Amino acid sequence: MGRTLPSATQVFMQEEAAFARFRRALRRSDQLALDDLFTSARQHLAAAQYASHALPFEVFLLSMLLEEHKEVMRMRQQIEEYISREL
Amino acid sequence: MNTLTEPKAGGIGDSCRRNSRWRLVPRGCFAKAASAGWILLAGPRSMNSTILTAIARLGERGAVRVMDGGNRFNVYTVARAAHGRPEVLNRITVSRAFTCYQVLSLLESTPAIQSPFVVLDLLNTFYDQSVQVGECKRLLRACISHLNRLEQAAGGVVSVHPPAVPNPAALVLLDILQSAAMDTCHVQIATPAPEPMRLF
Repeated sequence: MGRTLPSATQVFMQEEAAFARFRRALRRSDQLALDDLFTSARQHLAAAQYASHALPFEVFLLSMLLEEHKEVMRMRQQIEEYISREL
Repeated sequence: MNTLTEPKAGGIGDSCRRNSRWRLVPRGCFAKAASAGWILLAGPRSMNSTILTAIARLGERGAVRVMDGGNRFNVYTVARAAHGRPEVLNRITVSRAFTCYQVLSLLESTPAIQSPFVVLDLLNTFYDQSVQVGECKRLLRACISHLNRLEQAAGGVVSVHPPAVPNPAALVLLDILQSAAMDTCHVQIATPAPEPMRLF
C-alpha cells in the first residue's frame, strides 16, 4: 500500500531544506560549521528511524550533540594522555 | 464555484472563500466541527498542512477521529503542531483506506460517538478510473449516509482535493458531496509575489 509516513532520511532532508535560508544568512565559516552539524546528524539516521520519535528533529539535534560530545571526550582523553606523559 | 483545478501552491496564506467572503480555513470550519453537521473543505493539496494543524488543535480539546482516504495524514506535522505532547497525540485516532470500497467500509465500521471526525481527501480513491462512475456515485452516496449518521453525535469536516489527472467525474462527485454537506468552503491559495532575481 506504500508508505504512510516519510522515512527518517526524507524528514532529515526536509529539515535541512527548511534551514536553507538560515544557512544562507550565515557567514561562510559558520555555514561550514552548520554543514558539519548536519553531517554528524546524518550518521545516525538509522537510529533516528528506529526511534520513531514524534518530533524527529529532536533526535537529529541529539545526534548532533552526541557527535559533539564524542569529540569533547576524545579531546579530553588526548589532553589527559598528554598531561600524564609530561608529568 | 465548482472549479476543480489545482491553483499554484506555495502560498503565503491559505484563505477560504465562502459566500463571497474571505477568511482563514480553521477558524470557522473546525470550530463548527466540534458542534454538529459536517462541513466540506474543497481546495488544493497544499491546504493539507493547515488541516493537520487544526486536527492537533482539536486534539487539545478532546478525542478526534481521523479517516484518511488519500494517505494525507502526516503524523510529524500533527506532532509538531501539538508540540509533541503525548496526551494530545493519544486523543487522535487515525484510520486509513486505500480504495473507495475501503472508505465505505471504514465509515460503516465507525461508531457514532461524541467526538468530532475529520475525513481527509475523501474523493481521492473515487478518482480511480478502474471503478465505474456509477459505482463511484453509489459508494459515495452510501458514504454520505454514514457521514450523516456520524454527524448526529458530533460534527465533522470532510476535505477534498482536485484529482492529479483531470477527471470529468470529479465535478459530479463534488456536486453530490456539496449537496449533502451542511456547508462548503472553497479554499484557495494566494499566489506568492514574484521574488526578485538573486545574484548567486
